[in-house]
Amino acid sequence: MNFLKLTALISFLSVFTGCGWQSIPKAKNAVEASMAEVTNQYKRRSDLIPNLVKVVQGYASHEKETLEGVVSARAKATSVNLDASTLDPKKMAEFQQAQGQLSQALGRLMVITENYPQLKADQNFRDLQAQLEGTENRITVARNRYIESIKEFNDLVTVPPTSWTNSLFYHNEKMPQWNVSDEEKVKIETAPEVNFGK
Amino acid sequence: MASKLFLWISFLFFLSGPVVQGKEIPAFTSPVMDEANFLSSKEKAQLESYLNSLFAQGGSQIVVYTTTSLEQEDIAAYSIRVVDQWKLGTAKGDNGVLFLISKDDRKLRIEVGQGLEGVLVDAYAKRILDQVVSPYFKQGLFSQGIFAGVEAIVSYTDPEKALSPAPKAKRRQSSPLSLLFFLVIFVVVWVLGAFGGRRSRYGMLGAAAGWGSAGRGGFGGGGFGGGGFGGGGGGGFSGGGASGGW
Repeated sequence: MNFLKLTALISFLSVFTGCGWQSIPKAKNAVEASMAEVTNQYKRRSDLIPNLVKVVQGYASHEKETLEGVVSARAKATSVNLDASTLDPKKMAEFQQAQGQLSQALGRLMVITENYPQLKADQNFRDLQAQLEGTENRITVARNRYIESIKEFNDLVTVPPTSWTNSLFYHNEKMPQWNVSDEEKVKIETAPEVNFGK
Repeated sequence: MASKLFLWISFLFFLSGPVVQGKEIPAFTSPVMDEANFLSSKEKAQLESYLNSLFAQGGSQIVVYTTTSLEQEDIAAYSIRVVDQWKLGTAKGDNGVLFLISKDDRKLRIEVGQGLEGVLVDAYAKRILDQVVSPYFKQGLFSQGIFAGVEAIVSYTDPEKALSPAPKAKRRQSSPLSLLFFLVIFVVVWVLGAFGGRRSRYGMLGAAAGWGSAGRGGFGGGGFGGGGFGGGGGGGFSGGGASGGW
């Protein structure tokens, strides 16, 4: 019975300590950490690309256009860097677009590899392909966690009672949400054309 | 006044309720969660004791989970939700591995904890699925495939322990004094968790405090790890590993 009373007291107190005094700065740190993880995984992907291009070149050297497309998209994507502490929506859109274009160039490269059975049988290529798949999956996971952390932060600064604490002490602004649709849009807009009977 | 406060609090409880989406994740009760019944009870016990003793000896926490269907969910998406909830591996080492098999979808996945990403890289995980597990599964030899897959995983994650036959886990005698000690620690952690004002893995009290957690997304209120057996409190998974099929 005493234990029950203690439990009730603690849960009662914990509601009052949940005013956002601690959770708002914590949530902000979480956003920054998850942002860093996103850029980290994108970097990991671009680090894999030179090896991948080299292996594909060995078997499919005349697919010049596609290979160059990947190389230039990679160069462009690595030139856009995000700073976790100053989240500028415009910069973020730029980053997402550059990475989206790289995804798309990589997608095209993977499509043409289907035509080269010897390449597909190469263990080195298969390993790189597995690494790339794993990295794409890490990107998805990191992005989802980032989106989730932004949502939590925005909830804290906009939903009472924590929003009152925010407007009294912290004066944080709502953060821009990661816009997945931008990246998807690039993919859809430039979907490969199919020509029948030409 | 008091009733208003009560209403307010219950309203907050309502708001912070868990959002259920996708396939439901079962409670983590054993290192061999064989929902699809690929293993006989003897095989299951054998694999269980092997995996338990591997973890007890300071090895990785490897979990085999077979299910009948993913209910349209992507296997990688489901598997990361599972490991986030089960928190496999130790908190320090993040050395958990989930070997997930979905029967009807004929899909496989090895989800690798961050601490093991260096030794069990994605390419090796993919090789295990394609070259070790899948050939057995194609012939309908499921238990052989599972055992061979686990063996291959261990050969990367814990090479020094892979070859030695699994010894029996030591049984620990617990004295009343040490029990009391753990109880005290438990209460302290509990109270701290509640006062931290965040939803923690310590369950209900943490959830009462959770007006939005500052942690990574999607960790459900975990309870106490499902009765006696639980994840090691790790959970550092970033989506590494590989998917495959048969």
